[in-house]
Amino acid sequence: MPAAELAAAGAPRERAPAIWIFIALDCSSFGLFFVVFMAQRLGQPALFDHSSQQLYTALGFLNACILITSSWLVAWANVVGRQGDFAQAKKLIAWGMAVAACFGLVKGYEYYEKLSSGVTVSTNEFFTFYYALTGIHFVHYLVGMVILGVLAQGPHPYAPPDQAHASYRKWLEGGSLYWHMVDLLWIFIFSLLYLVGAR
Amino acid sequence: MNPYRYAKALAWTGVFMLAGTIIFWAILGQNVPPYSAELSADEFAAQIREHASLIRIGMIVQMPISVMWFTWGVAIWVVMRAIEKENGSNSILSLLQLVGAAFTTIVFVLPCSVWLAVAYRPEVMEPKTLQIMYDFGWMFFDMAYSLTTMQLVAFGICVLQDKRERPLIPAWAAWFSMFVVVSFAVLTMMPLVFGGPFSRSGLINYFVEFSLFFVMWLVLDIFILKAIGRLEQEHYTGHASR
Repeated sequence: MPAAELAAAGAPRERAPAIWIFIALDCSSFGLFFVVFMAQRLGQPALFDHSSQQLYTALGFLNACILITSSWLVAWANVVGRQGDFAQAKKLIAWGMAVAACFGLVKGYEYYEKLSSGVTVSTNEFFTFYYALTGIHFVHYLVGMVILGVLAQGPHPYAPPDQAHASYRKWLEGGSLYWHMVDLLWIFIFSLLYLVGAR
Repeated sequence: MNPYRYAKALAWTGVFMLAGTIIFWAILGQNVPPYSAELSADEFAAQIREHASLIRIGMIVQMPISVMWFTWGVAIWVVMRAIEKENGSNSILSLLQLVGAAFTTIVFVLPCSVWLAVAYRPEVMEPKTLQIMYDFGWMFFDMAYSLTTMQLVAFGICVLQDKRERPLIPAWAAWFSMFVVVSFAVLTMMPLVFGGPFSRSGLINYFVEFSLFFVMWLVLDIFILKAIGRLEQEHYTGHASR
């Protein structure tokens, strides 16, 4: 039955998933971090520019591409999941996770390279922000990977199918939204840390 | 017997502790903001010696009232049990919340005893000894955040499973509290820096994080009190408003 008919018949309108509240708050807190970063940058632009040039822009860009590709696969999983093709949705989520795993490898390499060359949280204010912003983002990424891992299991196998499918669709939508937020936040972090001040 | 007989009184303990914590821990305890980690040991000791009497009063009262975090946690548990009862009586989340409340109580009590020891006889103590004790108090207070995170994430997930048409606790309050306790992750930066926004007295790790925590506490106080009122009403009218 088309949506208009359902609404006309008095069926309750489906509410937007409440995870939007979490996403809005989380993005606002990152927004605040970005404002504080830019405010601190104003005080010592030369130091921030010089420090920014020590980061590998190519690796930051590679990670942005990895997360965008992963997000695209997860969005696709959401589309097929809505149509009821849960087997395909599970496969796409698994592919999304496999692609996203590369983000962890690249970030791990970047951290290793920086720490082994003596660049730590206390090196200067830029690197305090670098480790804080990318670290908090990395925690979000890890939580997202756990959520994708749960989604890759598909609907609950023993619960009544109607209930299991409805619940899976809801989780798939919420999980996808969260994963897009992780991707979006990286684009901002990449722009601020790697690009502003780069040569 | 009314199964919610003591619950409202326990819910009020959350309100009392919130007010008490603002007065005794924050204002009298000289924690708005705390002493900066950038102060030298001598500068720090001079501050402590000047304000020792107020800090002593603050911590002496804060320690016993901190038990109210647990009694309030029991009130939250009552609301969670009512939701869980409608969902097949799976009590894992309410158990996690209750244990989290018990451990968070220690996070309030133990650092206060350390700060009380700092203010006990600062005039005869070495400045560096005072400073390391104070640092220890703050490391424990800030870095044990995962106990509170466990408590309130379990609460948030449970509240989101409420099948009532008008949930006992609104979904936004659940997501807001989960956001606040998850955002505590940024405190991880605190032991790595001395000044700046991520230090224990900095813009992000003190002013933003603690303001969010206190606002969340007030929001949950209000909704837990309302939820217990509704549960009592449901009990006496004999039918759930579903």
